[in-house]
Amino acid sequence: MRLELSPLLKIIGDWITSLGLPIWLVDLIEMCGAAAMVLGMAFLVILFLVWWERKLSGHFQQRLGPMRTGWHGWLQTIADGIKLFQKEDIIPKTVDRKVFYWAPVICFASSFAAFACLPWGKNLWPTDLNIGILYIFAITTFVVISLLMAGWSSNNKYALLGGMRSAAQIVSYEVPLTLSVLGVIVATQSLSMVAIVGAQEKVYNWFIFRQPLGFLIYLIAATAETNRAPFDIPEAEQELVAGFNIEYSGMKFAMFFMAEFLNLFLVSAVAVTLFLGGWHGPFLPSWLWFLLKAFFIVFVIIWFKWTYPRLRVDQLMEFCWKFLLPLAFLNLIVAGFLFR
Amino acid sequence: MADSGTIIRLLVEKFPSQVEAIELNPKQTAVQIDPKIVVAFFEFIATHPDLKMAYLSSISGVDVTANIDIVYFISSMEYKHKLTVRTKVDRLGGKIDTISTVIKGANWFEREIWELFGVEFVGHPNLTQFLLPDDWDEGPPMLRDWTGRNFVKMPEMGG
Amino acid sequence: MREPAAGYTEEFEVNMGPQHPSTHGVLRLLLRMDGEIIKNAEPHVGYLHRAIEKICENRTYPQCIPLLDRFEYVTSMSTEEVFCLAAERIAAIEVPERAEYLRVIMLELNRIASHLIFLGTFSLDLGAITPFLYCIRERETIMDLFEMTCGQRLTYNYIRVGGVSQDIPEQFLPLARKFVDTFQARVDDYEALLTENPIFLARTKNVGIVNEQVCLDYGASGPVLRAAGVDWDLRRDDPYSIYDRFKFEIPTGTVGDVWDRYMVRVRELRQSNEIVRQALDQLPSGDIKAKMKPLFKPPVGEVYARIENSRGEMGCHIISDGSTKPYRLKLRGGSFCHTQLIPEVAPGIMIADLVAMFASLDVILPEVDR
Repeated sequence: MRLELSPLLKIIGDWITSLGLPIWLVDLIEMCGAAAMVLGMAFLVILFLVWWERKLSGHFQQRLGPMRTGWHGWLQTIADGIKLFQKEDIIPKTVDRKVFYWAPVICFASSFAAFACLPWGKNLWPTDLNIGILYIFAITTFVVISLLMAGWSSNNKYALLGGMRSAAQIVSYEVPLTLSVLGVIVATQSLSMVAIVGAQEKVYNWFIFRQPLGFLIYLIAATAETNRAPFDIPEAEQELVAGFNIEYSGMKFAMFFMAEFLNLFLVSAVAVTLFLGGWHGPFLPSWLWFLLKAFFIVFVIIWFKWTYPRLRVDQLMEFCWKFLLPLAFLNLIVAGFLFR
Repeated sequence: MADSGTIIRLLVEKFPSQVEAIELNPKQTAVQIDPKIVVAFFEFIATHPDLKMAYLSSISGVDVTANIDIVYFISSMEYKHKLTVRTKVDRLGGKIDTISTVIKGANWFEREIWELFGVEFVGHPNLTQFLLPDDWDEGPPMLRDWTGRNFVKMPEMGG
Repeated sequence: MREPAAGYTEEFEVNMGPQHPSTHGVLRLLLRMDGEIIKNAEPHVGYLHRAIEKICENRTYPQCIPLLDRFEYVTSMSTEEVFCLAAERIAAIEVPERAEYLRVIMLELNRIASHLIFLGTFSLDLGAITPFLYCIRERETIMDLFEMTCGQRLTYNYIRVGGVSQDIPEQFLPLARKFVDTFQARVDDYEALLTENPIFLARTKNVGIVNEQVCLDYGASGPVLRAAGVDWDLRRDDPYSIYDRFKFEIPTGTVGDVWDRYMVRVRELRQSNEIVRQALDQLPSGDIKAKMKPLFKPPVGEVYARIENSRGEMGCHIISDGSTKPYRLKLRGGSFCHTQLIPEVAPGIMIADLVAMFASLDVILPEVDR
């Protein structure tokens, strides 16, 4: 059985088939190839984002940010990667080893697996699942499990508290997140990412104009999902608890770190797909439009972080359950009426 | 607002033989009191309608070799007048009542004097190690004849 | 007062400090907590005890001044001022006009620098990282002014008994004027970032209330006292130096919560700016130091001098026995009383609020420990 891949990968797939290998091997090579391309894309995204966040935060704070590693510091991520890679991997004696090892892997893998569904441009998607958006939300929920695993296995009451808080926050904010997305799905009658983008060909069709409240709820809930300020009290809590990754160092820490940026890009890309018309746009190639729009949303989320103070945990939860959720329901009901 | 003379008069009237005015350089309202009446004294000046002095600025201990002086500085927020209160306790093993029941802020000041001068404040809720390390065993360091930790007196300046 | 959920809970003890991410100095708070709520907070101080008072008994008056700089290093000028004020009162020295004006300019610039540090670290503790860098940027100009005058950025050794040590160079006035003229707009910037922000309000309004009764009981002073609604400022109520020649307001709060303390200090920033502007306008020419003998030997005497520091009342009790060294030097900083009142206000609040409250008290530990 051949996988349904995007037209670009089909060409490569056809060439491999022509080599006369058994079908299962061709499939395997195709799958590995596609996964490698997605992984490559993910790493490029991380490379760019880490540098960009540091540059942006520097400029917001009236300073320059990285300047020495390459032109305006663009090689900073590689420098950081090399540093983290060659750091000693300190594992405390009392941790639960298996769980400790697997937590960062699951975190990274779940974020990265969701990349398989993103429509990067016209005919440029690794795969077009007909339950695309559901798949993305389902697989990113694994992050919650990995946070709990990290917190628990560290055998440290502060890590546990931090992990539980993060998990509680993510799980809570998923509800308004999903509801706001449901508004879009009601309009497009499809869960497939490509179909959703397809429904937004004209600018006035973009869902940001047709469902502005949904977009705002999505943006706020997505910032909370990625544990970023102003919702970053579980991890940046300078008071007591330093977060779930307190006992991690070296490459394991790097995986959590990369997963955070992958998540950031992911929620922005989903925002672009659902609300900002995906890859549609005049003159420039479609993948460039997609990237520009996605990085714009990333910029907005980074802007939030460096401008606002952070909410207290109970205020955060109150905000989600008592404010965002009713609004999200309202949005869904109105969308249901308008987009019958 | 009561002026210096009135304050002294009111105090001496209330505690006839235990309070006396003293002269200090520069001129200020200052009294010397008997250590036994210290709690009653501070209660009096806090509640008397013409005095109303309950805002404690500081309590210092001074080692004048014969005994230890305890100097309280208290002022009034309503009337903006100030008072310097001096009292004496014995040097080694001296005791005086705590005024932290009257003025809560005196707590840490007295704790510091206990630790650095060795004066015991009777009734103080928390006379425990405060500024010095937990394992300090070299005696109250602020006494003038303390010789611990290679303490060296600087030579006198000429002239 | 928040009640924890019913069910089996256990209180546990947590150490906050001595090393803090929110650097207010080296303080250890022993917290007994029930979930998120604090049952008891006990401050343990003494990590920074350097025996300044004992050492100063063994140093001449000018030799004490660099030590006193380190007593409260964020506002060194205030410490020097209170000490010199006390010594001048004992010896009945009259400070020349120009020196008084220079002292006022330096004191108020130091107050601005100190409040900027407060603003930066306070918003850092609440999670807004950017205002910290803006405040540091402003403070750089003030540091430049200090450096061109006395060569130091932080511990100045500038205010001496009888006057100041050096006159200001000629580049001082233009730079100071430029700073004063642009500073109001900068404070508007900081306020725009924080004051009306709903998240900031949610974190600071009605949080960590230190009311008037607690303040008066514990001898709190400065912005903490004024935020509780008490109109008390030593520059006006126990006058020293030449503050009666300047027109400035004394901002007060109403409730004594974190927001009030923040607002009082922000408004004080503006008022200090005004004082510096007026002082620069009125700066006369003349001597910068009174005529004194080379070796300062005050007569026998005893005095307690107090000034309005950016953290509250800073007091200096000097007993002189007629020699070149003070017989007894006792210092008292505002933070001493503010740290003392933490066990009174901490029970019943959440840990995140404790951080906000402690940051808003603007405690500097060296003042507590000496």
